[in-house]
Formats: sequence, C-alpha cells, structure tokens
Amino acid sequence: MRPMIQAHELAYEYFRRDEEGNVTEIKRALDGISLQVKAGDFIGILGANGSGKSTFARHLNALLVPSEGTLLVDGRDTGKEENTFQIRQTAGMVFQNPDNQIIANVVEEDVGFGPENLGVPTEEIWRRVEESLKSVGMYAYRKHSPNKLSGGQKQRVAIAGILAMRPKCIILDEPTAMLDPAGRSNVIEAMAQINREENITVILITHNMEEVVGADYLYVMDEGKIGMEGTPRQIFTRAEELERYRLTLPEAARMALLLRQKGIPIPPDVLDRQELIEGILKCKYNT
Amino acid sequence: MLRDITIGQYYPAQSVIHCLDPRVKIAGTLAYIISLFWISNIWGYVAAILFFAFLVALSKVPFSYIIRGLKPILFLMAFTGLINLFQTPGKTIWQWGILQISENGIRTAIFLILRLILLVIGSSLMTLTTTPNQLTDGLERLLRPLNRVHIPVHEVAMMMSIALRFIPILIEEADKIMKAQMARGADFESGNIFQRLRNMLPLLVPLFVSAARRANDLAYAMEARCYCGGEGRTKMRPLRYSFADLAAYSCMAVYLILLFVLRRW
Amino acid sequence: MLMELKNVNYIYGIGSGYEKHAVKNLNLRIGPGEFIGVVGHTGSGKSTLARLLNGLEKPTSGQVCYHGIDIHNKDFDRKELRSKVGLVFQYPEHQLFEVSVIKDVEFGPRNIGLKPLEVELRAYNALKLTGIGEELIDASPHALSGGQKRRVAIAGVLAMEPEILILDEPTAGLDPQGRTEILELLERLHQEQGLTILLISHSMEDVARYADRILVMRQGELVLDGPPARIFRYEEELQAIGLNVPESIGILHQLQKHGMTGGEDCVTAEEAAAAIAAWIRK
Repeated sequence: MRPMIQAHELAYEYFRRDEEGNVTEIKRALDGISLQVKAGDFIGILGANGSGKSTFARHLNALLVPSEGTLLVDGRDTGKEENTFQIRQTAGMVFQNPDNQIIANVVEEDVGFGPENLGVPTEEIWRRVEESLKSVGMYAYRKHSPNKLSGGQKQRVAIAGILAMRPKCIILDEPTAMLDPAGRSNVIEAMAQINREENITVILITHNMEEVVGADYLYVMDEGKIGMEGTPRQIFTRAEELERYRLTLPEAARMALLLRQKGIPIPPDVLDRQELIEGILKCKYNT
Repeated sequence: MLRDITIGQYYPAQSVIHCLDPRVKIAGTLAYIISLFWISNIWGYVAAILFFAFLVALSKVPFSYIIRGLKPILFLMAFTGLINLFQTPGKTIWQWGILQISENGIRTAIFLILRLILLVIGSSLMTLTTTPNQLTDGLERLLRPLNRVHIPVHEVAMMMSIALRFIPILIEEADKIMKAQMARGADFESGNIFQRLRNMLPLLVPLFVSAARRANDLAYAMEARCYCGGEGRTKMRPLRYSFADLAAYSCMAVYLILLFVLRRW
Repeated sequence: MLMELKNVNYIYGIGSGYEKHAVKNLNLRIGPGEFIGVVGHTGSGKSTLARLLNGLEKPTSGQVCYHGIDIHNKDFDRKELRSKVGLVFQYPEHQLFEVSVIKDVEFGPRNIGLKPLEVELRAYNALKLTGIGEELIDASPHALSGGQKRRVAIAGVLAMEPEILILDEPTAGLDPQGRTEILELLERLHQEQGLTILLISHSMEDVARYADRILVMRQGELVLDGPPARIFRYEEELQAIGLNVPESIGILHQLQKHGMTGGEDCVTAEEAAAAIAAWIRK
C-alpha cells in the first residue's frame, strides 16, 4: 500500500530581515527530515516549543512548501502548485487556537465551510455535517454560536469541520495546548475513535506525553531534525534523552523509572497505570 | 461597560417572518423605509402603523423587545421633535417670547417623530428576525450584479460575516487586557484627552497585535480548508424563493399600492 | 491576616439574561508566607477570585480585607493595593506593549509614581529574579520565545514589589521544561523572597509539588481547603467534579486497594515511589 506521508531530506529555510528589508539571517527551521507514515496509523510528533514541529505540520497541508527535498502526501508532491487543492482535501489540519479557526457564526455552518469550498452539492453537505458532528459528539450543539462553547467543544467542532471534507489524514497541531484537562481528554478520545473506526491517519503534534501513550509510532523533533523515533514503548525507556529535548516521561513511566532507581525490578517499558500496577504487584507477591 | 455593545442582535423564534428569504426581508425593509417618506397625510401613517403591527404579530417577537431598540435615539427624537414644534411657521396657537407653536408645527413634529420611530423599528424587525449570516447571504445575492463591474461582492460579504464573529471575541479580549493593565497600575479614566489617548496605548498595542495574530491564524485555517474565494463554491443554504416569499412580495405590493391611493385622498 | 474574604458573593451580568453567580459565600484567610494552590474547572470561579483579591472586581456582597481593612472602603487606596496584590493574568505575554523588555517591566513601578532611578532599579531586579539575562533587556518583547515572554510579563508584576503574587494558569501552553522553569521560579520567590503565592491552575500535578495548601473550587464554591496530602484523600469527591489527584497518587491509592500499607502522606511522585518501594521490600 502507498504510504500516506513520505518525506525525503525535507528542509525549510526562511529569511529574517531587518527594518530596511535586508536579509540578516537565514534560519533553517527544518533540516533533513525523512520519514514515512503508513495509512491508518496514529502518529505522535513530539518536541519542545521551537523544535520545528509546527513548521513540519504546515508542510503536510501544503501551507508551506519545502525549500529542499520532497514531501509526498498520499503520493502527491506538495511542491507542485497544481496539487495543493487535492492535498488540502486529503490531509486536513486542526490548529492550536480554538477561536481562530472557526469561521462561521453557527456550529453547523462552520462544519459546512470546507465542503462548500470543495463544491459539494447542498444535500450532500448537510449529510456530511450531520455525520461529522455526530462522530465528534457535538451534534446536539449544531445550532449554537461557537462563542458560547468551551475550548474543548470548539476543537471538536474544528475536527468535525475537517471530517466533513472526507480526508484520509488529519493533522492536529497542538490541539490541546489551550484546553483544560477535561477538554483535553475529550479531544484526544474523539481523535482516537476516528482513527480506529474510520481508519483515518492521525498525526498529533504535542508536547504532552500522556496524549501519545496509545500512538502507533512517535517522532521526537529537535532543532528541525528528528531526534528520536520509535514506538511509545521504545521512546519512553529513554528518559535521559527525552529530558535533553526538554520533554518528560508520562507519569506512569516516570514512576516506573523512580522505582527501578530504587532497585525494584519493574520492566523498563511500562506505558500506563495498569501495566505499572501489574508490575508492582508481581514484584511484591511473586518473588 | 464594553460588553454592553450588541451588534446584529437576533431574536430566535419560529415564525413566518423568520423563515422568509433574506432577500425578501432586505428588499421589503428598503421599500418600507422609502414608503415612509412618501406619506403625506394621517391616513398614510395609519396604514404604515397597521401594516407594521401586522408584521410584528406574524414575527412572534415581543413588542417590548422591539420598542427597546428606540432607546438609543430617544434624544434625537426629542430634539428633532422640539425643533420642528417651535420652528415651523403657520397659524400661531401659543406664544412665549420668541418661542411659538403653530398648528402646522404640531403636525410636522408628530409626523416626524412617527416617521423616525417607524424607520428605526421597521429596520430592526429585519435584524431581529434574520441571522447575520442570512443577511450577508441575502446581500451577497442581491448585489451580485455588481460583480460585473469588478466589485468583489462575495469577499465583502465574507468579511462582514467574519467581522460579526470576531467582534464579541475582540471586545472580551479588550476587557481582559484593560483589566490586566489596570492590575499593573494603568489608569484609563483620568487626565485630559491627550493624556487619555496616550494612556490607551497599553490597551491598543496588545489589542492590535492580537487582532493581527488572529487574522493570520484565520487566514491559514481558511486556506487549509480549501477556501479560494467565491468561485466554484456551493452553498449550504442556497437561496430559493418559496411560495411564502412570493406571498410576502405580494403583500408588500398591496401595501405600496394602498399608500399610493391614500396619498391622493 | 494578610488577606481575608468574608462571605463574599459575586454575581455578574445582573439583569442581562445571562446572570452568573461566579463566587458563592466564600470565606478565606490568607496568611503571610503561604503558598496556596487553587484548583478547579473552567468556570469554577477561580479567576474571579483572583480579580476580587486585587480589587479589579467588587463583590456583590461581603468583604475583601487587606491587613484587616475592607478594600472597598471609600478612602482605601485601591491603586496602591494593586501593586501590593500582584496579579498575573492568563497568557500575560499578550499584554506586553512597550518597545523594549526593560521599558515594559518599568510600566508598573512607573504607574505607582516612583522616582525614575527606583523604577529602573526595580525593573532590573525583577528581570534578574525571573532569569532574563542582561543581553535581552533592550530587545523587543515580541522577539522573545514564548517562555521568555511569559517571564518578562511576570517580572512586570514583580517589579511593583507585591506582598502577594497571584498567578492565573501561569504554565498554560508551555512545553514541559518551560512549565517546570516557571514553577521553580515561583518556588524560589516563595522561599528566597518570602513572597506569598496564590497559584491558580487546573492541573493538580502543577500545584501538588509546590503548594503547602490547596483550595478546590466548584461552581463558585470553595469545597475543599487543606494541605495537599489531606486533599488527595478525597479522590472520589475530586473525580466527581472532574478533577484528579496527581497520577502518582492515583497509582498509590489503587495499590492501597490491593493491600498496600503506608504512604498516606505522600504528595510527590518521588515520595510515592519511596513508599511503594518500602512496601515491596517489607
């Protein structure tokens, strides 16, 4: 099967200019990124602020085009302008600030915005709006004004707006950074469900480790490069490296590490609370 | 204080008027406003008031709610009323110094105030029964012929609708920034006009920065959802005239003819 | 008492149709030198509490006292109060407006009416406290990184030399390292400067490690008030209002259901791990 995303030696540079418009500095925001994402996977991209992960996300949607190297989204080269429209339909994007991506004054009209742009016939738009709002659990709010919703609800509306375009892949650029814990888990659960049930590829960009525990594969970015990659289990055993990239372990993995440091033989690849407790009970009762 | 501003107020209800095509409401309101300047005698006003009362009854918007829209123009009404009352020449019926009231004056003052009231509440009935989005949709459609003279009607309508969405957000944000600067000892309330303007900088600079950031984010978000102007777009709610709309146009026509007849009476 | 709230109610939007009772019958005493965490959901009234404390909002009923005096007395100097009760808003970097970092930090002290030399001195000190290096003080605040901007904004409040510092979600949107840096800055200010701190957050994790007292709010009411270890015993009650104990404490509680003994007073992950290790070895 054709991979959803194929990046080869991708680089992105931009110029910083002084007040007269002279170039003072060339900044390399992305530097030799090569990776492949299988269709249907749930991928996490981690990294501290300023590591280049948002810049990379914008490439996946052809909002930015590579300075060097190539990027194929569902087999289409993002560098070619004639592909842009198709790529944006294939790979939808949810942004960080919930307020700044909702366009219409009524929830259902906002969800319909994408399909309208695609030229979808009216009845089909309404069908898609209904389906999408139902799959993120926001159908009951379809007549509401977005201004009256909580941050987590707004983000789910934004996801519905992308779903209504029938994408094969959804990229979420720090969708939970501005949400409270309840809103955060609602958004992540909605995404996991969409990934599972509709087989849509999900690329979640975040610096919150707890959100990617269930992902298929993780990339850690640092200064425009890929610093680490692997399954969550592999990544979370490398605590010191993560710290170097200004990241921390999920709490359960951190507890496991603390226990190992105290000489308790907990397996090094504990992911969540359930596994940790099983490990601890085994140490206590089986030895 | 800042939060008291309401723009594009809409009164949600299920009524015949609410369901009408926005084009009917825009055209109807326009015709009604023009008709008010047409009226020359008391019977005309009676007809205009009765017609309006009929529309209000159909719209299910409480009358008290409609009257509330007059509050901001109370002063203007009193002012124009008084000027006309005292300044219209004619048969004097009361005099005190240079102030005199004529029979003509009373008539003109009453007619003028009536006209103002009907003008304001007449147009507010449209905004009360039409969502801002429907309004912009209707305008876009009515103004479509202007596209031929290269006026970007769709883009202007889109801008209006986005502005409507962001005005409350920016008002709230202004309130928050103001409070935050007050927590740092900023003073927005004292000093002369120049000092006050200068004191507004700590509010205005962050507000502009934020508005620019939001605009930038929004542009990205719209592009990411394949927006590229009005061409090739379909509509979620295409405007199509129904039987009710044609009936409404006919009602409007009957009202205008009636006024025309009454004028000659 | 440094600050005291007596039977405070705050209702906003009275008569507008979307009236909200944001703070209900709140009684609270804040002593000098405390580090208090305030936890609650969006809309629990915790941000309103902050604004009430520094006089930006006036209670609908009840009293807010500073050193025993009602701050809404006619002759009370509320401008002075705002410098003594420093309030850092959510996303404080959005309020930066001056052309340089130092000038922005000077804004607060200048507003109090201090002499220019004193203003500059305080601004320097505040920037030093928050770890902003000399090389950045003349830079435009908009050219800094997110974490730096936030520290500059905090410095802007610190420069007024408040007795109590109230921060509304100071770690929102920062990466893990940035979060730790801000929280450690607060701990330093508390320990070295003796500053009283009120940290508002929706994350128990953030609050647990640093605060010596936690307030839990729900729909405008203060529902729990006590030291972290005691608050964490109410795990089920917290869950009922959509809050959680820190994950490490949750793990501890679950182990206790499986027969674990000890660890009742744990607050941090390190303490929890030590208690678990001790139990396993027993």
